[in-house]
Amino acid sequence: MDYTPRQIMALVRADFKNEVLQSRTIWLCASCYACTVDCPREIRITDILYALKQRAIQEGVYPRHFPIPVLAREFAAMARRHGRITEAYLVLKLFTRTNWRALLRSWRIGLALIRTGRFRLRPERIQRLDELKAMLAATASHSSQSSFPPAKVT
Amino acid sequence: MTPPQNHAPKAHRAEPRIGFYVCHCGSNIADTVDCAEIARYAASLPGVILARDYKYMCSDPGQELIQQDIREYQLDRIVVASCSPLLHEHTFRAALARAGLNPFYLQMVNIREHVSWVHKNREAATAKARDLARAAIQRVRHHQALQPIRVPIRAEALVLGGGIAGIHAALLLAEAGKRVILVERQPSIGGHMAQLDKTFPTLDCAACILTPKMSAVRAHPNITLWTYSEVIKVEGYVGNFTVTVRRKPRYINEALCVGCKQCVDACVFKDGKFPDEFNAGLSHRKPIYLPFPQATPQVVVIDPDRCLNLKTGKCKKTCVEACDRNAIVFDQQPEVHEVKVGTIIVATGYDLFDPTRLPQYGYGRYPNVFTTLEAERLVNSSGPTAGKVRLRDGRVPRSVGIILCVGSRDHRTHPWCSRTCCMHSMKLALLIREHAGAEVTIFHMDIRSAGKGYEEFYDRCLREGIQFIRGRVAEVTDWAMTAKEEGHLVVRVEDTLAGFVRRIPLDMIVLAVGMEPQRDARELRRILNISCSNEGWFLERHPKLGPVITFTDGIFLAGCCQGPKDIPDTVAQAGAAAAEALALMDRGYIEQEPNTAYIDPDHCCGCKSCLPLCPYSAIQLDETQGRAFINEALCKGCGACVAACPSGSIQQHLFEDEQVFAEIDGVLSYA
Amino acid sequence: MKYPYFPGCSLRGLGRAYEESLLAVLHHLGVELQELEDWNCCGATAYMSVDETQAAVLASRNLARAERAGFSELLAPCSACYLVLNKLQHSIEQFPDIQQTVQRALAQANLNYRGSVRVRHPLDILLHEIGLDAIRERVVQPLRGLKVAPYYGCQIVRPYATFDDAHQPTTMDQLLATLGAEVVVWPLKTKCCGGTLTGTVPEAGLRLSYILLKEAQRRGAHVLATVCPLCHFNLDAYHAEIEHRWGPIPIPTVYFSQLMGLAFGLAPRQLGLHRNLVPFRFPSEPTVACP
Ligand SMILES: Cc1cc2nc3c(=O)[nH]c(=O)nc-3n(C[C@H](O)[C@H](O)[C@H](O)COP(=O)(O)OP(=O)(O)OC[C@H]3O[C@@H](n4cnc5c(N)ncnc54)[C@H](O)[C@@H]3O)c2cc1C
Ligand code: SF4
Repeated sequence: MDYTPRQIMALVRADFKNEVLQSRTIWLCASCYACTVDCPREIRITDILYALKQRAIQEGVYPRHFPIPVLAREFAAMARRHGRITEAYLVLKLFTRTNWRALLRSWRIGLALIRTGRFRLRPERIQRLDELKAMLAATASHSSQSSFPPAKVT
Repeated sequence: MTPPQNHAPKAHRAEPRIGFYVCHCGSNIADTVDCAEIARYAASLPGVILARDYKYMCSDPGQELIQQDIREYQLDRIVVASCSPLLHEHTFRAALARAGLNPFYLQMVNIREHVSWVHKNREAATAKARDLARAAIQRVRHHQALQPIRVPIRAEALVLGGGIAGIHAALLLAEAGKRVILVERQPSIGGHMAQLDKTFPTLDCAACILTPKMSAVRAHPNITLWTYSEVIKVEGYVGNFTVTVRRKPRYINEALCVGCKQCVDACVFKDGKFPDEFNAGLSHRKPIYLPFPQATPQVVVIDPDRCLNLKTGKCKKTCVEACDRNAIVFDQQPEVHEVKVGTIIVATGYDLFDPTRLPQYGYGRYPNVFTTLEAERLVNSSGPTAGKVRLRDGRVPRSVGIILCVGSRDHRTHPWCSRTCCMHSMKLALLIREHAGAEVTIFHMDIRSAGKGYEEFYDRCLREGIQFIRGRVAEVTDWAMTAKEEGHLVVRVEDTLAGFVRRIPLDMIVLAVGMEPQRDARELRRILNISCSNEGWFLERHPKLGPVITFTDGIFLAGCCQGPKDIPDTVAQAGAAAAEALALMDRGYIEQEPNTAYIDPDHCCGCKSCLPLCPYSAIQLDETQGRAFINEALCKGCGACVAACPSGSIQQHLFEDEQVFAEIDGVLSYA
Repeated sequence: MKYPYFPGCSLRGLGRAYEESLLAVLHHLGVELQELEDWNCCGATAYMSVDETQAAVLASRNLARAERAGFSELLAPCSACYLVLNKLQHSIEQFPDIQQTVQRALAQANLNYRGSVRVRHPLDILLHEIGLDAIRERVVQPLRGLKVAPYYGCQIVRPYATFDDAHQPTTMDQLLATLGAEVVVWPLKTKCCGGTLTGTVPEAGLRLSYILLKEAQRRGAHVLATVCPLCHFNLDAYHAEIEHRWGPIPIPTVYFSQLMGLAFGLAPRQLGLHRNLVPFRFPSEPTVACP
């Protein structure tokens, strides 16, 4: 974490755009919403961090070899393409894109998951893919205006 | 009661002689309205003898101008076009009176708030001012000479709430020779201050400065002290309130009891068993008890929810045997009293935020999380531990953390700052360190120490080694990550000055719980017919210029019931409230705007449709004549009956039909 | 009783045992689940990081399909699905522009959503519809002597505390107590397990999982009970890695539904217990001195 979330909020308000969008902090949020329910000023921090992540992807300024944004993009791509996520392939994709060595280190876990039937290798997909595709096509991707009002960054 | 002058038959009027004045208000009006043009225009209207514009009409020369003109030109009606009548109607009315003219021959035109401040286009604004001026000129012709209504004021006062605010106000009034009834809900007066140990910033002992005042209340011949009592109804109006007070039974004859506590010792409960309210639940009392050693009055009280005899009827009643003054009265009944007073001072104080609403701070879950009020009792030498700061298991804490703004400055609970907790937490830090030798850390968002000697007190704490960590605490937990944390409470907080999250193991946590309005504030507000803010603090008439008066004449505010404040501010406000009440009572009467309604007896047919409409019950039916009449002293001039009268026989002074119609005509008749 | 059911991708993969055990215990309680036809991925938290509007549209297809099927409720056992669907429901109610975007997209697929579906969690159903009494009646092998640390994780109680308290949830505590287990009181009930960080940034993610196991161990727990496939994955699949880094912590993690099944006397295999990487075993009978 290069900045604390509080520092991120302050940087946003002070217009340090690059510092914010390139920070690792926004990607380190695991979306547990602990801050959102406890913030005494009722700032929806998790949602703001989402908005910042989207912005970082849009502007292509996220940390390139940092696995988190890569995972997010691969996840979204798979959901768009198949309508469902097949975890084994997602993990495989992630590791090939970011860190071969991590893949090698994790082979034991992978095998164990296959053995216990938790890593399914048959890709999952929905039947009416065209339906989903039509819906997503009708939604301007990366709409410039974020749907969550407090998430405003300029 | 009705002054005959206001009912004088309308004399045949000669053509009125109107003087018209338009004020520049510096540049406030003149920048947007062409004042000279307005004067020129007014002068051209029928009945206007002269019209002038002037830079500041409210100034002494401005008023003098009016007076001179009245004398010189025999003016008998005056119109002033300036600011809101709220601001200067009384100023100009007084000028008329000084020139020998009845003050009600004045009409004002508000061309500042209604014109220059809300419009930009000079031409349009001037045109609007012209229309308004014309309306006023047409209206003022129909004005009549009126006399303000005088209402006598009773010289007795009721003070509600016996905290330091109520005590101080009651004593001042009593000293000034007024009779005072002090009504307190608890069995003793003293309020929160009685529970405090020392007080910031001078660290003088609360009991030492409060007890003498409490005894003075008890002893003062002008004060009637009703503890364990509540106000259940208030009727009437300024100067003449009728207040109904309910006195709860304490099952003790107050006149006989001397507070010797023989009965308490004799009670069949050998030890205290029930949480002691005065010690914030840190000790236990019996069903029969004296609230605290300095309780005033020194009269015991029996808790009906705990007393075996009152609950089950089965008890040896050893207390009765023990009392050689026969003061115990088990069949005592509640009493209801009606008292008449001229003024009421409300001093019902505050309640404390319930920290279980923020479970992340662990209050109620971890035994060694306390509130600041509990900490006050712990450091107090007559408290449950005789002044020794102890954890619940009796150990001495080596390290103590005080968390500020618990239930304050938090949009999920209360957005306001409770104002005293920064200061009293620093006070407690010094006292806890003195009593337990513990290291004390204060967790704050910022330290608010505005007040005389307050910042210096903060400096003293810094100098004396109290630790300050800037950051709002995330949680208090017993989750230990290291051996050092084992057996401690851990405070997790982002140290915003250091810039990272810290875990700080401590033995004892004190939560600086904020102030909130009394739970029954809304109910009381309705009984008293005063206003309160959304949150429940009673509302003053003006935050700067009327901080202790309410929107209801004759009712004043003192202390924390109006908003969080410390003792110095509370006492200052109590003094101010007493002075306001005294000013009213000493004058003996008040003058009211004669905007009352009256009934033309020749037209009233006695249909009674107006009777239930009057919110002040000012209309009565004269059965013998079959006609309604209005008690001018009760009428507030709301106009409800005037509008409703089917025969049109109700009129209202200052708002006569012909006046209002003339005004409407004036606005609508385009020149 | 029959409940409409949204399994979500994880319950078909890493979280298979959750689905197996949940179906088994609900069936045992006389409740059947009817799977939403042709459901799609809810988008989880990852999609929201990429494109919030698309994420909302993606999730909305499920609610619209549920509504069309005549469902007024939808059971979503996975914490991420539960939150995402709930959040969408909230956003549609609160922000008209989101509602419009979603409706426009749905129209492309001849769908429509009036907002009538209530998303529910199994714990909510178990406690507030089926009731603890009915559950107690089914218990044939009380989990006596088993110390369980109830672990709720984040997204079923935050940011919308729909059926339980955000800071001190108790539904699983009550359920476990009903099964005869000894509920371990611990302060990390709702702390984050690390989410996907365990895979992406192990230094950060694994530590969070480790903290949970460590504290549960410190409190004497025999097992952690979870409601979320991702939590289970982190605490179970990465267990070896955690022990490798920080030393032994012999605490398995199971789904609360698996514990229910055991108490109901169902076979461990039927409950998917064989899929755990850290095997769950009853602690050896405590040696208590006879009175
Ligand atoms: C822990 C703590 C420490 C503090 N330390 C300091 C300090 O060191 N220095 C300082 O200046 N200030 C301190 N304060 C602030 C101080 O307590 C207040 O400023 C002061 O007590 C306000 O007095 P009050 O009379 O307005 O209210 P209260 O003390 O609340 O008195 C109100 C009284 O009205 C009674 N009452 C309420 N409702 C009714 C009703 N409906 N009918 C009849 N009676 C009613 C109550 O029973 C009570 O007796 C501290 C506060 C706290 C919480
Ligand atoms: S006085 Fe200090 S502790 Fe109290 S609410 Fe205000 S800032 Fe917070």
